Amino acid sequence: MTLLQIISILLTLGSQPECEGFGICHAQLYEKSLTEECTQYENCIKASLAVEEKKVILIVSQKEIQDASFVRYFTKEHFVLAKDYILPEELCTQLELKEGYTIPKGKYEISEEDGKILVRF
Amino acid sequence: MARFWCVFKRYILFLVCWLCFAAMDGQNSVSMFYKKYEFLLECPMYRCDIEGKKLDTNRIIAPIGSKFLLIEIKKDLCIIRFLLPSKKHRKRRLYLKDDDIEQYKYFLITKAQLDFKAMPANTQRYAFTLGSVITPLKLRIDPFDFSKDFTMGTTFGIRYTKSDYAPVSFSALLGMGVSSVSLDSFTTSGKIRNRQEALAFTPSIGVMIEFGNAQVGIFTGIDMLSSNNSNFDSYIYKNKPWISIGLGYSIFSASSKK
Repeated sequence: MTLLQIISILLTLGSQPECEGFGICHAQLYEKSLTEECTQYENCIKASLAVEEKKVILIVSQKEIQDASFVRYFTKEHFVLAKDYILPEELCTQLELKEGYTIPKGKYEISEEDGKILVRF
Repeated sequence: MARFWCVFKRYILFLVCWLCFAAMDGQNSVSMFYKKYEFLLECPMYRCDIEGKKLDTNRIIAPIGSKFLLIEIKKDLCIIRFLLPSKKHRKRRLYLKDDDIEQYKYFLITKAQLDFKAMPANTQRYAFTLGSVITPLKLRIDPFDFSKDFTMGTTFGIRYTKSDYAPVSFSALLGMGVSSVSLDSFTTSGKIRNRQEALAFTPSIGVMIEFGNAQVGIFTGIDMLSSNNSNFDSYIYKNKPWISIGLGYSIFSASSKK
């Protein structure tokens, strides 16, 4: 299995005032300066995105996620995207995906591999 | 040909008996590798390590519907963890360079909470099932007749469970058994006058609905008399299917119900 690219991101999950529905609210490339502030909030996590066979995979390390966030977002069978999520341009470029790549709304299985949390979109 | 049928019949009888015994023995042979549960109510819990030592005094509430593995029970406390390996993607591993095996998040809940707030979660919607079915009454068509030619035998097939909560499942089954067939003037076109009973090998197919351990279903099959039987050719239902209601009891099922 070859992963084409893995990038670190900061991910804001859940329903936010500026986001409709449940799921991914905001994703951006990881910046150390932003991390401290962002991860104070339960719904902000450090994660990775990868591409496998043209499908995006969200990879979350258990050591990078607060207990409360983990329990809230990753203890059910599925990760729910209530609305289509269009990946930001910078992430598409890094992942060598077409601009405007969209993760369709739906229920995606949450699984585990060697202790990492995986969501294959 | 007659000798072949005789040997074949003995073989089939042996196979049916063996399957029946295997099925009876099978109820204890279901091995459970791990126990998976689902919270039906929100549940307070605390972070701990793999040995159950509390790491944090912050109480965290597990949401309804979250699924977890029971790692260990220590007196009144249970060590659990949430992440579950994917069956769907088992063959498509990513083989990430670093792993988080040392980083699993374990939580403590009480045994009482496990008992009252969680229930075993069915991970397998489809499962192999093996049991026995009795068809006490047979309806035969062409010409229409009904008889008490009962069949007893072993069935096996696929069982589908729709919900984790409702104790209802559906099975598609193949069966084989031994039937007691009544031979009389009517069923042998007048060849014999006195009523006789004969054994027949009976393959069948059917569907079954299961409530708990009780099962009821509809079956169809063919009663195959031995070619040694002098009435083999005159039996009017030779190679003609019957329809029956099957009553069964699941002896063994390889589902993950705990």
